[in-house]
Amino acid sequence: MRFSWRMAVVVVVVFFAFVALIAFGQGILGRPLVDGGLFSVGMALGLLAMGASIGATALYALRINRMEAEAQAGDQHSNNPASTNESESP
Amino acid sequence: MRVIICVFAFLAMHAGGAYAQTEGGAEAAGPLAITMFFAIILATLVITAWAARRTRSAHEFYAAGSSISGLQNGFAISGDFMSAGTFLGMTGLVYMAGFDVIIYVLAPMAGLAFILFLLAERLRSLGRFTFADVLSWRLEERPVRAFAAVGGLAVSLLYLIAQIVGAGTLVQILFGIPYAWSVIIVGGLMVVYVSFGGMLATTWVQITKAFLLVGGVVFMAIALLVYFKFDVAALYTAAAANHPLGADLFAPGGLYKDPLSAFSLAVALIFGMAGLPHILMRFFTVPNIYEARRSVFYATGIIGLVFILIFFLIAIGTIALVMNNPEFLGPDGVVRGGGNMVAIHLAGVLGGEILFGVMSAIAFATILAVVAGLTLASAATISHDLYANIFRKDRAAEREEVLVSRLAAFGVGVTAILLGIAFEGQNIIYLIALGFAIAASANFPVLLLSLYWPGLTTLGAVVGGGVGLVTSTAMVVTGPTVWVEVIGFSEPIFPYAYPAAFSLPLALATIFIVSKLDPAGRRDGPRDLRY
Repeated sequence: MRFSWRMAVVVVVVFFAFVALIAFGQGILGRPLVDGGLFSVGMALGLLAMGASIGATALYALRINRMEAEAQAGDQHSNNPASTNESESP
Repeated sequence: MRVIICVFAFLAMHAGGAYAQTEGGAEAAGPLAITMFFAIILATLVITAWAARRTRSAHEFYAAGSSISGLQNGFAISGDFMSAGTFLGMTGLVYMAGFDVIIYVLAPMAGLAFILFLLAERLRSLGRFTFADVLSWRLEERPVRAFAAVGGLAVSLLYLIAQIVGAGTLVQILFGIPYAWSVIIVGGLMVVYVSFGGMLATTWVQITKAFLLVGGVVFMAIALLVYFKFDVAALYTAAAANHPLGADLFAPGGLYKDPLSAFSLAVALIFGMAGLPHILMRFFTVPNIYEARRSVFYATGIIGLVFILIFFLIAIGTIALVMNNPEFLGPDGVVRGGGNMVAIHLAGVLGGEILFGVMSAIAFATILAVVAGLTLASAATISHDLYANIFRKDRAAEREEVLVSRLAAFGVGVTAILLGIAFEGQNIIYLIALGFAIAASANFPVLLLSLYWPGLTTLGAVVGGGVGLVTSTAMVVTGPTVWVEVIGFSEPIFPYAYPAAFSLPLALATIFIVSKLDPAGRRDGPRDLRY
């Protein structure tokens, strides 16, 4: 499976898993994270899910941009300045 | 151009004068807020005048000549998504219902990531301007273009009316201007931005506003922490003590009647984002795919920062400091201006008249920028899809198409103003719910399959997308929000407020079955793109 599809599946699964917890796991999410505190397990998990979405975007953008920049640098090294990121790399 | 600016400046001043004579109550903004309000309008008009001199070709009008950098476009994408519904509406919703609003907070981050991974690359490599351009790249042009234009316009107009009604109410409350005048001022300004400045002005207005909104929200969060001497536990305790839900404020159960409602709303929010025309257009304003990827990364970061600060601090702060505060209660015992105003009241508590004025002006700029983006997307659909491609059968000169765009922006603006006045005082939440439901059920499945499924046929796309459009609309109209709350029947025909969990799979299945049963319509799959 391509990298982009794997990342998309991860983000969608994390999102709907969290929604399913809101729908069915209300007892778990409503519990305070620390005994006697007010900040709930649900708020902590929500924050984690948000971090995961932003992190996945960052990982994807940085990784694909670096890979394509390297592929292009390689192309230019082999005297083929016309090639772009859409062309087949050797 | 100058004449029109003068006319609107006159209208605005006239309305301001009317306020000074008739109002002056404590809830209206003081002279400082009025000054900020004019400073913001002036800044956006200067941007428009600058952009108008640089906008000639269709590519410049629709896509700002692809001249926007990744970071700038990241601000513009987040600006497009962060409407007045974000800062004001989301705060108001948490103020009322607490924890459950977290689905609204998480959905845009997950939705943007999904768009980046599966849609942005391919959309971008096609190098077109609208959703309809993408469909006609591989299917028979005229039927899919007509379908895409209807789907895109339906979503944009619903969203636009909701924003205009919200804007009218906000300006009315903030500045004491009569509702109809507020709507005319907001609608008039948005027409000026779009028809004269095109995408370049719209984008820069959006960037300016997103920058101001991020700054304002960060500043308010810090001011709130200073107010509570950096003791977050004290803030949360004060909120729980004030709210009728008590400690359950931080637990699920405040907003969704049943598990399916939560799930269906989640489907509409995450996939609906991919079907919003004014968000998709943003992938064409950057010079290349590298900048497009970086811009989505910046956008998720910016939206994440703002939404997290609003949900975890500012909204909790409104419950702790504005709720039950006699200073903000109207004669009927409800907070003045309703839930949408609690964030603005909090600004007053934290920073006095100065912060109140600044945040009011930022909220106003937010509305202006979002309605401008929506108007541009609608104008592009009318001129590019309906006029140039269908009505003139691709024989229109580019100058003619840009002229029609400018006229279309004017027409969309006038329509939005009239509908905005007609919808005065209506519950606007169902308009946004309907917009997202249509975007997720009609536009998104057709877009996704046209990019990834070689077996898709023109008939499948048009019939399946049409089924998504009709069923999602019918389910919202016969559901609790319209059938019961707006029309007044006692029982809804369709029991759930959010239809996307039903209408999206139905649309996907219809597209699949009709395409399979349509051997004559089979076309080659996507060829010029790698899988």
